[in-house]
Formats: sequence, C-alpha cells, structure tokens
Amino acid sequence: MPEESSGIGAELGSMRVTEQIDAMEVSAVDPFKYLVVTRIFACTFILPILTVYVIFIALAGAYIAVVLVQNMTIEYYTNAVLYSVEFGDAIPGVAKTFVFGYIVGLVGSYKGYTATNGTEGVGRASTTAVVVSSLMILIFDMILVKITLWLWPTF
Amino acid sequence: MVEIKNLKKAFNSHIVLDDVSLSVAKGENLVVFGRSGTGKSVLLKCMVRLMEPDSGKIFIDDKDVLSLNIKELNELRKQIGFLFQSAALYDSMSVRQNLEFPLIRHFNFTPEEREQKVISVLEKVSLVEAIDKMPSELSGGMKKRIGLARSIITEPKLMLYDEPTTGLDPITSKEISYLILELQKSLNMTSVVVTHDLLCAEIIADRAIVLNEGKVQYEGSIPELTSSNDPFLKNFFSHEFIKENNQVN
Repeated sequence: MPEESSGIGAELGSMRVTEQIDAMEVSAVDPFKYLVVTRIFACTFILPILTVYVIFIALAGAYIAVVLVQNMTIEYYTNAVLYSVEFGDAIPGVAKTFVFGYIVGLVGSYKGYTATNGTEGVGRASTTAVVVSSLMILIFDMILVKITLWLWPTF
Repeated sequence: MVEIKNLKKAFNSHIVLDDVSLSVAKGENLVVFGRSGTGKSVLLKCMVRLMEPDSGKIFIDDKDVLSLNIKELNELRKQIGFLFQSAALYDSMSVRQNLEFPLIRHFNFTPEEREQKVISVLEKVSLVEAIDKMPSELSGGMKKRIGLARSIITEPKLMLYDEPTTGLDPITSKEISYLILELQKSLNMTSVVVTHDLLCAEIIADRAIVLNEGKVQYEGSIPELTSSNDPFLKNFFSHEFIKENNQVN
C-alpha cells in the first residue's frame, strides 16, 4: 500500500518540478481537483475492492492447496470456510482499508503536490510519502482496532 | 492591454522585483531582457498569479488581476496563453490529448470540431505527423512547438513566452521566432516575451525593456538599445552577441 503513495508522490512531484501543474493552473483548470481529489478518491475506493479481490484469490489458492494435498471436495471446503470465518473477521478488516486508501492517496498527493527543488525534491517527496503513509497506516490501524473492539467487544 | 504599476516581489530578504512598472499596448510585442535572476520569469508568473506579488497593481484588459477571485481569475486565464521554458507538456498524455485538454475543459466542441482544431494548430506549427506521439518521443524544438500549439489553441488575446528559444539550436530558434511572429500577426495577439536571445528579440519585438536590479532600467526599440552608449547596455548586448555568434559557429 505505501508504495502506491510513493508512486503518487513521485508522479505529482515530477509534474510540479517540470511546471506541468503550473501549466494546468494557468490554463484555468484547477490542478488540485484534477490531480489530487481524483487520486485520493480512487485510492479510497479501490483499496477495499482490491482487498476483497485478494481475499477471494487467497481462498481460491487455499482451496487448490488443500485439494492437491487432502483431496477435499469444494462443498466441504466452502462449508469449512463459512464455518470458520465470522462477520467480524471480514467486515472491520475491509472497512479499515477505506481509511488506509485515503491515507495513501492523501499523503502521496500532498508530498508530490508540494514538492520543490527539482529532481532532488521528487526523490524526497517519494521517500517521505512511503515513510509517512506507512507510519500513519500503523497508527490508524491501532486506533481502528481499538474502536472496533470498543464498539463490538465480542470481536 | 497590460499595465503593471509599482510591482514588488521578494523571496525572504532577496528583492527580485523592486517597483516595476510597464505597459503593453494591444497587439504589441514586448520583449523583456535582463540578466539571469533579475526576475523576468517571476514577472510573467505574477501576471497570471502563479506567484503572488508583495505589492503593486497588475491590470490586464482593464481588470485588476490581484483583486480577482479564483473564478474571475480563471475566466481571465482562459484569455491568456503561457509558453513555459520547458514547454511543460503533460507527459502522461499524447500530443493530441495535450492539445485537446483545454478544449475539453472549457468549450463544448464536438469530437469532430476538436479534431479539426487540433489539426489546424498542428498545421500552424508544422507538426501534424506528431499528433499521436508522446512528449517523451519529441525533440526539444518539437516540444516547444507543441507547447506553443497548446497555448494558442484557445486563441488567447495575450501570450506570455518564458524563454521560447532557450536550449534550441540557432536554426530552430529562428524558426520558432518567426513562428511566434506569424502567429501573433494572424491571431492579432498581444505578447510579452522573456528572452536572452537577441536574434529572437530582433525578429519579434516591437519594443523591449531591460530589467536590472529589480527595476525597468531601459526601454526602447531593439536598435535603440543595442546601439546605446550606456556602459551596462553595451556590456549586456555585446555579451549576447558573442553568445549568439558562438552558437552559430
């Protein structure tokens, strides 16, 4: 996830130092809306979709593994998965990724959009984006777990 | 068309523009000379509020640029073209997408009308064959031409050029200078051109000013300035001539 923040930081930073953002602004297009809002929006909503996608890939991978080793049927596997996985395992985990996506988009965009000092600034924007977003994801993960346990103690 | 009064801009304690006043008549081509770091590009950026000056007034088309809100400013910006020193093409878009960008955002043209406009400006800069290329596939001169095409596609009333020929060989530089003059005449635009290139200025300029120590110190036609006996101007233009001759040789 944080490497996506780094990518956004590098891309927008590069656009900033090569005056592409200035060119957009001077052509009466709001670069903040066009470049920043769209990226934050995309990260916020794509990350949960990717998370669900990855969960299904993992389940399919696990099925292939157990079929090869234990010759399990799909019905038995599906029942075992549904029996073991509870609502509380999936929903908070996926819901948290909305916040993580928002952090990734926000930090990467901010660092890139405010980059200065040429190519050195692009490198710095990219590095600080990955560091800050990693740190913020760790902190917010802890906060969100606490909130989840406070709201639904049975999880 | 453009009137600037007592413009001041400093970066921390370094004063870049110190009481700059100038005016540009409608349809006129004004060239701005000055040594590196004298605030020529800052002056252009202040005119479109890419930078906020510390004090002074800027009027474009009788509108007080510094007192406009963002909506009014964007309306004014639609009438201004800006050619950046690096051309500033959007490198994730093809030439066609670069040219279509302002048309899509500000006008309600049909795809066919947009295509026609794109081809028309590319014909003006003689680069129709580059329509589907990416900026990374273009040479420096081609980038400048496409940048120019993108600036004029909305047919602005005022064009601001930030060193349009810097980094180009003398022949391409001359071609771009004549292209700017031709476009200015055909579209009846007013232009402010920041340049170090005397050859370019000789082709384009109706009038020129020289910025020094943050002020407009000299003003006149190119022959007046280059034939002046003022020690600074003599030194400045002899140096520029040497640079030009070296480039040609």
